[in-house]
Amino acid sequence: MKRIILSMLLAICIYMPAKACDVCGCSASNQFLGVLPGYDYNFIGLQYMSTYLSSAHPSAYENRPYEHSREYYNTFQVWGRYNMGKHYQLFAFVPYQYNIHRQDSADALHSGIGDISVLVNRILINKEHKKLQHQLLAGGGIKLPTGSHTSLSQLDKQGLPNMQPGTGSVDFMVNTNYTLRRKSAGINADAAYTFTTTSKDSYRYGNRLNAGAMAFYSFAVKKFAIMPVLGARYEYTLHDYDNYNRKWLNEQSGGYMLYATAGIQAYYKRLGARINYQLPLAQHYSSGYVTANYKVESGIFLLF
Amino acid sequence: MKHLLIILILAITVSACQKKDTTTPDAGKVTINITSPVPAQVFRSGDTMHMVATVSYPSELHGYELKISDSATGNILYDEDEHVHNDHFEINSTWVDTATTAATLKLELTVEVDHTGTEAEKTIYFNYVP
Repeated sequence: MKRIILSMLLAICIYMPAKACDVCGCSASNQFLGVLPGYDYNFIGLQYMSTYLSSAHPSAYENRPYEHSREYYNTFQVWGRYNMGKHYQLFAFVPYQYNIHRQDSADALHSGIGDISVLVNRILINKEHKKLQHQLLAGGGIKLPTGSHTSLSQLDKQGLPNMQPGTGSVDFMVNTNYTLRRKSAGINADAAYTFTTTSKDSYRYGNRLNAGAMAFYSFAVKKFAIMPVLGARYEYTLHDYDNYNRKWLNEQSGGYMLYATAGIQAYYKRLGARINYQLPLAQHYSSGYVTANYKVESGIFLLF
Repeated sequence: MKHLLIILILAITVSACQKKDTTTPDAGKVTINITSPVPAQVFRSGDTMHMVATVSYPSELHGYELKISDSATGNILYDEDEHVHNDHFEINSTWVDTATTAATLKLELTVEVDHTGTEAEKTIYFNYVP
């Protein structure tokens, strides 16, 4: 119980915007775990995530019309989980990015292997109490700068820095994931926070929070196990620094997004598939100049 | 566990405070040096005009616009703009005029100091002869 309270406290504290200064923000892409397949099994999966943003902002120069653009973020990712003994789980994520920035009918494409992440979670709780099954994981990890990244000064001529496959920085993540299940129904709450560091060219992305709560219910249809999920996700990102050493804070970056999310998972023996659709309920991103339209996440996985 | 949690909460709280450069935007502190073309330089039809300039400022600049227009009619003949996030940058662009009438042309370099309209500008007049 004490551990649950501590983890909930952690999640609540992560949710709190800093009151010491007037900052707030959110990002376009965050790694999160959510409702995970077959707890006792290892798995390897292929995941596809798509995010569509649109932006409209006034031109920096006089007598120019508003500038409009669309950004399509596509991530194809191999990911998996490996149980290390009874208490630890290792997660690894190898993404491939295919991002498109469309402005005035001209497309700028940024693609390539993204930043590889590794996460180790400790199983703090896995027990049944009064017909309720509790499972609590918490841990941390690292994101390595394996994706291609161009310095801001060069990229200014090509598009936004966050269109790139990599961030050019080593980032550190902490996360917690709690599942409460009774018979076929349950809830899942998770929170992940990323501490960013400065890239070689002094650019620094804002720290990011990704948190969510989902309700699920599983039932059988012939030989398939079906599990619909419904919930909400919240993303919050601090401002980026164009140059962290000089403290050039980009106040037109960062913000928050709140999504309603609905999805379904299906299992046949040791093969699983899932799809989630996220629709924004509320948002304020990049000083209101950027609008998130939707997110789709789908994937297949093999339990072993 | 408790200690780890406290350290984590402190780290998140501290990292959420974002310091920023508080330099007051001042267009007068922008140094613009246009080395080409030089004032009153004459270009003929088909000549390639090189536009070379350096810009510097004590803090972050956000972009520039380079424009050539007919000083009499105001017609814009060339217009280029770029986002730049640095305290100094160089411009090296080219343009070829193929107009049929003589004109005094104006080269304007406008530098964006911030995103709220603070701009520095430098103008050079030169001549075109068909």
